[in-house]
Amino acid sequence: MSYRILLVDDSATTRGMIKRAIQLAGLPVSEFLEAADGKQALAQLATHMVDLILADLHMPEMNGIELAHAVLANPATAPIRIAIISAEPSGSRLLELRRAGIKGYLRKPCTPESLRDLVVPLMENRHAPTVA
Amino acid sequence: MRQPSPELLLEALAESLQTMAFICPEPVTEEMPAPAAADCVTVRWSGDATGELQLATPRAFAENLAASILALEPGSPEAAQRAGDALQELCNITTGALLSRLCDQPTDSPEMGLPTSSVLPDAEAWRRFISQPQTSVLMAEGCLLAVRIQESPT
Repeated sequence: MSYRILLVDDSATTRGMIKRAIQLAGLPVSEFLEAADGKQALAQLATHMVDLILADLHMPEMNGIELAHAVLANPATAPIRIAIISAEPSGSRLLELRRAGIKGYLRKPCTPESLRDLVVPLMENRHAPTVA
Repeated sequence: MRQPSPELLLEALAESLQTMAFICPEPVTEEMPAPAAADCVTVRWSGDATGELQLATPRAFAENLAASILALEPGSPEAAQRAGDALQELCNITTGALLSRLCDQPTDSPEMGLPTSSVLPDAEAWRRFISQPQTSVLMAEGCLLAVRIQESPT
């Protein structure tokens, strides 16, 4: 079964890089949507449903954690899986991400293999409860 | 956190370039003329220590970087349009790769800022940039690429 992914990153180059890596990984993605920050992502979600959000942590308008809070607080979007792809070392932040309901973390630079390892389990378990 | 070193910085830069764009930086083995102008990107971090990482390179390298990352035709208008963004992302990812090497405790949690861009307008500005401490100069895709770090305890 194919799925739809929303890429959220203030760098258009990074969105392109992640999209290309996912395509190289051979994942069954039917559509990519893109947004430059959390606010744009919420606007996309008002009219388009997706299965997975891959978001940067730091963005000028609404960061990845704030986006996760907003998505999971809305019953219409709460089933969407959310993962963070960030350059920042995870360290103690992982706990904060888990508490926000974020299901995965990948540190940039990401490879097709690392993206596949992140995305496949999230999509296989996408109907499991979303509470962290 | 561990102290940064030029070796760790170059390791982080090489990893980032290879993974993002299949580009392998090389040492500078012969005298090269200073670029007439260069783009410069800075990423700062704060937390257990504060510091910044800066990358400087001629626009030609940034365009090649964008073309490699996005599988675009080198010299295409889109590669030129994405050049600044690609260089910012290289600096962002290299800073993250460096900080992950410096964090030796689970509680180390440096927070990175957003990349900012500036211009080195002439060869003299380039020479001043590379004369600063903790600066390394490499070759990548036939262009000079300078990288430096500056860290100070909080």
